[in-house]
Amino acid sequence: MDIAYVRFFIVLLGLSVVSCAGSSPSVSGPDEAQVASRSTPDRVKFLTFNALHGLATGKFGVTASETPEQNESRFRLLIAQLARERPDIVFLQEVNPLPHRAERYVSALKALGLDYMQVHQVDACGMRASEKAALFTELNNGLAILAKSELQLRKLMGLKLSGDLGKCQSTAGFQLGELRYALIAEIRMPGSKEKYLVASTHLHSGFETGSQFLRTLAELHREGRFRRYAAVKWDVEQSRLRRIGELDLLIRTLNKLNRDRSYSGSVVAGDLNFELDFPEYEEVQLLRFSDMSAVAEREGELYTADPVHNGWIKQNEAEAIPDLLLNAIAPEEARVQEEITAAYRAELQRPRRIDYILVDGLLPEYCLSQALFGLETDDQGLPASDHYGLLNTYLRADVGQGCRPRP
Amino acid sequence: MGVLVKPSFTIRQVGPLLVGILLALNPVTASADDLFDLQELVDDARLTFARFVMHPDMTSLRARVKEARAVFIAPAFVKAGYFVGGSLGKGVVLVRVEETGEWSDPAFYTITGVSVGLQIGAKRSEVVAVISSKVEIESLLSSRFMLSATTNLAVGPVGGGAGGSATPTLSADVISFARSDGAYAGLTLGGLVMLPDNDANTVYYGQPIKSADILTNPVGIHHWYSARLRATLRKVQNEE
Repeated sequence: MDIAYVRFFIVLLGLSVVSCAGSSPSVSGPDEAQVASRSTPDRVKFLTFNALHGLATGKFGVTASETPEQNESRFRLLIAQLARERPDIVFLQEVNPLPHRAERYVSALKALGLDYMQVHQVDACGMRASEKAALFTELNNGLAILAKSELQLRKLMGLKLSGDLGKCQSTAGFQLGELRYALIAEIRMPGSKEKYLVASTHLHSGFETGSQFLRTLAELHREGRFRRYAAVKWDVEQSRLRRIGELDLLIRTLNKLNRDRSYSGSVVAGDLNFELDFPEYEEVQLLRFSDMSAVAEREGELYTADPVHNGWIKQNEAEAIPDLLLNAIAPEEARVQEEITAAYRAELQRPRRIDYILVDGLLPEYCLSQALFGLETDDQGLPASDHYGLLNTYLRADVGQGCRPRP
Repeated sequence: MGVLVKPSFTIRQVGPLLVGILLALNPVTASADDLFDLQELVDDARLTFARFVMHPDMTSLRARVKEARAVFIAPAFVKAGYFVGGSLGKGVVLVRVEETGEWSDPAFYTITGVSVGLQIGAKRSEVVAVISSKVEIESLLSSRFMLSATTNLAVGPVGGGAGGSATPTLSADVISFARSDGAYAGLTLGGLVMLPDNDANTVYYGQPIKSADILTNPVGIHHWYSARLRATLRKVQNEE
């Protein structure tokens, strides 16, 4: 080769290297962004599901409320539906028993070729010194999060939200009353450097009643026919304030974990035990979290606790009237007692949405649809739980045909 | 408490013990300047206030809040003593802005006091005080507000009816309500001093700001995190 040509090529090579180096900030920036964008998942699915612990609390302890066969049948039904939907992350409540059931979810899904990780937090442990030494052997259940392995799920903490005395760990703990926890973990979105905080929780459940029943009681009180209305209202409000305190602590903690903005967003999902017209729902909004049901495409209202369709709730129709209400109506005349009892039974038959996926800054560039999960039933006509799950499907806007990203 | 004896210990001897007890029982301690601790204090103040006003026996408090010019809420107020007694609490004050009828954002205050007498033990309470006099508000805005003999103080009546309406209690300028060990009862604030905590104000609002500025600005200095506390006060005031 002529030396002039060699020199020419060397100069050309040198110029191209300099040119590339010099222009790298403007050229490689968009390229990297495009690569990152292309490699983020087309579709992301989040599921929250109260798996029903299958326990009954009596005066002297806790016993199984179903046969082992029924429990196994529910488990298989749930696994089959999980395998079909393949949610990227699953927020579970009432996982019983822990840690075995959470590990079994992982192994059962693995057997179907699906690679998941799990983290968990016990929120009901009774008195337990070790895995085998416990006052109530049946009792050791709570929260779990399953996530596809590529999300690199990592537990950050089990946060006690309420309950005076007690602490539950995986295989030991004690509780002298109801404890409520949140399981807080982090995930990494595949194909990007983005990390998210995720929390599964099951908030306090007390004497729950909707606005209609309270209005009925208030009306009877105004007419002078129900004198102990204030006591009932106080109990309802105590329950609501306890949940508000739990929400405050959970969201404050998530904000604290994200004080240096190292997370791109937070997700709180679970059985929150309140409805849209409860003060807790307003609390969530004032804490700057969004209920994804409000912005998702969905077919009508999604009732996760639906006595009309869910056979497990129908089975419990004969549930006794709570002592609080019985004591409150005791001094009233028989007709008023019947009126209140009938109104309460009607209240129990009302479909409600008490499970939520709440979000602060998650995947805004994705379209979102929401549907109920767990509607399939076994040969007895029973679904996998007394709750239906909520399934959020995020579809990347440039992939979804005709879908519009959320505002 | 209240029976005076000659203490055989000096303040130097019992002082550190007392400070230790107070700090151990008080949830807002050395890290009080942390934003999240202050948010916790605002949340706790809101829950304390909500629990008080919703209680069936708090008829008098609900009535007083409707007429109030300011409220002081301390979710954790500790009295402890071993012959020499001390009181310590951290709380928030909100003032109703005369021009708009709206509640101000919270300003952070500490409340402290020392007493001598036969007193052994410690007690933690939640306290809500309703202030209805313009003069007392002006004292509150100064650098220290002495709840002394010259302040028209009273302990709020607890009960379901309007039983207390004819008592001198309801004409007091500062009426305090307290809850301790789950029971609602009176707790006198006499002899205590309220001090604005401007360091806490600065951390919470993210700018150097004094309690007086927060409480007297009619346009309002509003932090999004206080919205729930202000809404709770507004709700009680507007209730029929």
